[in-house]
Amino acid sequence: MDEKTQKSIWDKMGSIDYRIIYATFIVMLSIPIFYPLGIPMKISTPVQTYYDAIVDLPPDSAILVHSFVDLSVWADTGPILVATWNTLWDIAEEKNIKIIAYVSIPDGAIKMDDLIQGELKPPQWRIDSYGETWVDLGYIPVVNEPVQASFAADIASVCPTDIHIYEIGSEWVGTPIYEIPVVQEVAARGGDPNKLDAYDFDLYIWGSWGCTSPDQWVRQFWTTGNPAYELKMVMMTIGNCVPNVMPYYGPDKPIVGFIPGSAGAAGLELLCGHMGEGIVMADIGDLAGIATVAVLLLGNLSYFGKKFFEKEEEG
Amino acid sequence: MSTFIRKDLPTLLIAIVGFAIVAEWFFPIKALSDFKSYLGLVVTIIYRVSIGIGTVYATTSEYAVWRRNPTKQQTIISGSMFAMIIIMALVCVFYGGLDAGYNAQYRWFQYNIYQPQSQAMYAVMFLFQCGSLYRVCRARSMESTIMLVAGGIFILSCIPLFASYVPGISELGTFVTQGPSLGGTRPANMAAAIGAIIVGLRSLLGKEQSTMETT
Repeated sequence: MDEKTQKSIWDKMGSIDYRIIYATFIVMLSIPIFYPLGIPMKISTPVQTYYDAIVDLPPDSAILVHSFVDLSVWADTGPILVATWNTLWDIAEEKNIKIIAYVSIPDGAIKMDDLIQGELKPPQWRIDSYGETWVDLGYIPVVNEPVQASFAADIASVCPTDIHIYEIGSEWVGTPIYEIPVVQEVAARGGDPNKLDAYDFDLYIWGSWGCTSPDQWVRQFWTTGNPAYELKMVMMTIGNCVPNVMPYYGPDKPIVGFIPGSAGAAGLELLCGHMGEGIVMADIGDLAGIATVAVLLLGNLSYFGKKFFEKEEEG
Repeated sequence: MSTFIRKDLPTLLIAIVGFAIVAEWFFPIKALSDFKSYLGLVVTIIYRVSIGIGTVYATTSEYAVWRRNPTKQQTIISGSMFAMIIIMALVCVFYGGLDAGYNAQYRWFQYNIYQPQSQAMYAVMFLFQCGSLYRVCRARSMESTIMLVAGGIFILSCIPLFASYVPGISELGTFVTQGPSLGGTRPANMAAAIGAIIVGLRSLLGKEQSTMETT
């Protein structure tokens, strides 16, 4: 080969075959699955505030929980949901915290059903008091803004009856929601026991991996209403969406805490004391992150190397 | 179809419903509040019906795509996948009845086909992102350098190991998202909000062409 057409080290660094890059990532991501590394980590502020927002709720508070299930991102977001419910189940009976939950996609209804009957089995006192201290209303399509607006104004307008199918609380299936004691009690906090709306809750736990969702939720559950609902929220999301959450995050802002993907879930697991898949996923996040930074550096080293050193050689 | 039914009637309905909702905000009387709640139910019904209509459209268009396969081998392979999904759906609906989503057959489909396949798609997307990061994210100009630095800081702040043990990286990540990023997001949101009010008013008055076309 001609000396001039021979690739320099900078060229080689900048034109690595994609297949090698993909293979490197696959190997890096696979290591923690087979050999959990337990890379040490610290709990970030948004995760700490997420946890605090739940456990520091005053007695007799009411929580609206969106069980965020999306099977396509379950590996990244599932550990957050599991750790969140574990945190909720750990709330002491004496605090008398009411929980009204729902899922927003049909797959979620099935997944939650399996979780509640297995990995996320509620404590006995919650099982015994299903319908009185907590209820899961099942699948409510609260995903687009018109439905969200209706949901915030009157939950029964989009969910007239309880449609969950858990064995635990099967007696309530098909019951108009205002005949369920916990719904009546929470609705009565706003003055009208026959109207459950965003005013009646102290905290809204919700999730989404749509990065424009924070705008939507803040519009419909914080700024809307007359007077404005101003419902405090904590959010489950993925790392990519953090820049979209940050404008609304802070102690006096709508979103008081959030969990950014499985790495954040690991922090929540440490806080609530229920170790799960989040810890493994945090290892994967570490190794994937290191590989990402490495390819970023490699690409730029090649670019600058070619720009400066090859010019010098030519000169 | 007459112009009245195609254009004027939907506009009239939008205007009546829209003004009623706006009026409820200013005059929160029970009749208007009840009407608003009732509309919520209508929205949900429309949403759920649209899922059904979408399923029919998706199935027919998929069938049309399948018929266009150029070779016999492709027709058989894609046809078998298509047929499997249709059979699965029919089993769920007609065998499972109203509880179709909760029967064993659907659960098997969800956990053994749907979940792995959708997760694989997400994983492939991640691999493509990383691959493109290598080729595209280079400091070629002032703008790309700023993006590279901001993106690099943010990526580092999201990696638990770096966030925990590199002093100041979390704070820098927070600065990037709450400073420059917020500075860009807020004006965009404000512009979108003003635009939404204008589009909303124009729709209520029947002057918004895009609403006319969709109705």
